[in-house]
Amino acid sequence: MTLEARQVVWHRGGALVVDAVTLRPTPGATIGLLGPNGSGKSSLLRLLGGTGKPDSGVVTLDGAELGDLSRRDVARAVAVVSQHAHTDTDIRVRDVVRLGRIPHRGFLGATGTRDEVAVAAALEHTGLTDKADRLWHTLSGGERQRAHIARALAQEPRELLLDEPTNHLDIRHQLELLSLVTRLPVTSVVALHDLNLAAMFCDEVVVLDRGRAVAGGSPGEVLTAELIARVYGVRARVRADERGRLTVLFEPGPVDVPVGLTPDGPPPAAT
Amino acid sequence: MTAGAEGVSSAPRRRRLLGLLLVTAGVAAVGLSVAAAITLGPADVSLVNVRDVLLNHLGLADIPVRAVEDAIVWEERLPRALTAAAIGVGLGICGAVLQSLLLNPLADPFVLGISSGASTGAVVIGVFGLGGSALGLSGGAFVGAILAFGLVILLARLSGGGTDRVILAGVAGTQLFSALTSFAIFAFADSDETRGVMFWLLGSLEGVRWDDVVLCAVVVLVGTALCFGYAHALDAFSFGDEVAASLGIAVGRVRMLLLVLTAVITATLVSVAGAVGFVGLVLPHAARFLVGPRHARLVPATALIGAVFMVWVDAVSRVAFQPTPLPVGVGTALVGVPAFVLILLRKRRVP
Repeated sequence: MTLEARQVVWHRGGALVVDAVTLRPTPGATIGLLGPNGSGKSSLLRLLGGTGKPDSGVVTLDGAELGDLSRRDVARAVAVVSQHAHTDTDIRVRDVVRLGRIPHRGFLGATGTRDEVAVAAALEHTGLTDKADRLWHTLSGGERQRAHIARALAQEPRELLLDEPTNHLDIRHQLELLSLVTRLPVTSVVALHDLNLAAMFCDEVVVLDRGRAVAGGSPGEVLTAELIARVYGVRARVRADERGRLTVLFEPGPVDVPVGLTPDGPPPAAT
Repeated sequence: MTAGAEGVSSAPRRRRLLGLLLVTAGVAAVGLSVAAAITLGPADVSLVNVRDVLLNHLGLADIPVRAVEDAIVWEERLPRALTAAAIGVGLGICGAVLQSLLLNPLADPFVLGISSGASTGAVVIGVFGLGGSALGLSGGAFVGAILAFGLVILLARLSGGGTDRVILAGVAGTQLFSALTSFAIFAFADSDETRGVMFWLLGSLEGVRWDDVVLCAVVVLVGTALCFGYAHALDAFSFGDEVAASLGIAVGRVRMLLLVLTAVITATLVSVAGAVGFVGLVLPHAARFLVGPRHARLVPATALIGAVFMVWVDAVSRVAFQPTPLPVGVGTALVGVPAFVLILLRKRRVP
């Protein structure tokens, strides 16, 4: 059970952005959504979060259609970290994280002990405890991203949807953030650009291409040189080390031209 | 966390107690401001006189007071001060709500065409005398304000409905109704009618009566309570619609409800006292400067600061250029702009 998409189709602005995608995450697993720009990763996440309504197909939470649930009930189970969420107000980090408690409150709900504990835990998880009183506009891009994730964690969700959460982060924070996500006792669906990070942290990956899910399974099964060439249009070599960990190495130059026969443009590197 | 379970559990309670204390102090400040403002003016009235008159009228005492003083306090200055307080509360709250909903620190209660709609409505009644006796200037203003708001929202809907569309539609509506007002005055009004309408457009509390007080107080108190109830939803909007939706807010429904609420509050206040400028823009910023951006604090803070501010500005406008009263809208801008500049300078950000 939990959050599932069945054969969802969505048109936005006349264009088909999600085309008959089915997604059944294993509870507790981390699912990577892969695919080039414009392949429908963000749109699929919006459908899963209930902020978009599919034209056909259904998204269900514990068997109930998202459209039949109140926004509040959805928000108590599903937290979203979208891209580019910015504010001009002079809000402090702690107050950003407190926003995550809103779905757990009533009409006039006051802050209770449970709220404070959840906020403190979320700050701790994301390493923001000592920055809790900083103002939003003084944070770096990476700190803002972590604050959003802390806000989502304070929501105490069962499902976490993240849209390219590693954007703007340096490599250390990318690794820290994704290992945090995988450690959490929630089901996570993460849109990612970096195939190596996906291979390292995801239990399963789904590859989208022009709105369609073209491959799905464990990173080892899905991430092949052939698939990367077909979907991303680049040449890559995929290696597995002795512990079965994947590394994707990219090579310059277009896909379809055999080595040594590029008429214009630089010849592809030998190794 | 070193605070421990006890520290965590008592902190919210202590904060709530402090909040209650501050609100009580604020209400007391409003009451004292009203009492003090009543003593100001050409006719000499002391605080003791004010107290006696109030106690008499509330049926708590029977103290002999001169009839003139009784009339000045009870019929003139008290309703006026109370209306000023209601306007401060109402316009301040509407500004705070709109700044949050529209993600725009420059939003004020008139951003959706309400003041210019009200002026058109008032001019149509004042100059053409359409349905004049039944509606009056105030009624015309209210109808005009609501019509303008409806048109702006319709326009925003037709053009896609995002926050930027609402603001653009508001700009268009404001311009349209301002032009209609100017046109009507230019083409049809004589100078007396023009002066009457203009004075009222600048915002004026001349001749406010008890039924105005009751109307404003009821609308503003109910409106403030509702906005306070939606404080968390207003917080949720601070990162935009999408984040608000993911936090469980029914974005479309809540936004429409709050927009209509601010429109009704603003239209009511404008119909009583004209478009008092600057209060709705500045007061929320002043309150945010003092208590931060969370609406559970911001709404009560804006309300209390607004009430005190307007009572004093009105009192000063009333006596500064005796015997000619300054329109209160001019007073709010004269006091408000320097205050606004001060806040901006204090809040200057390091780039």
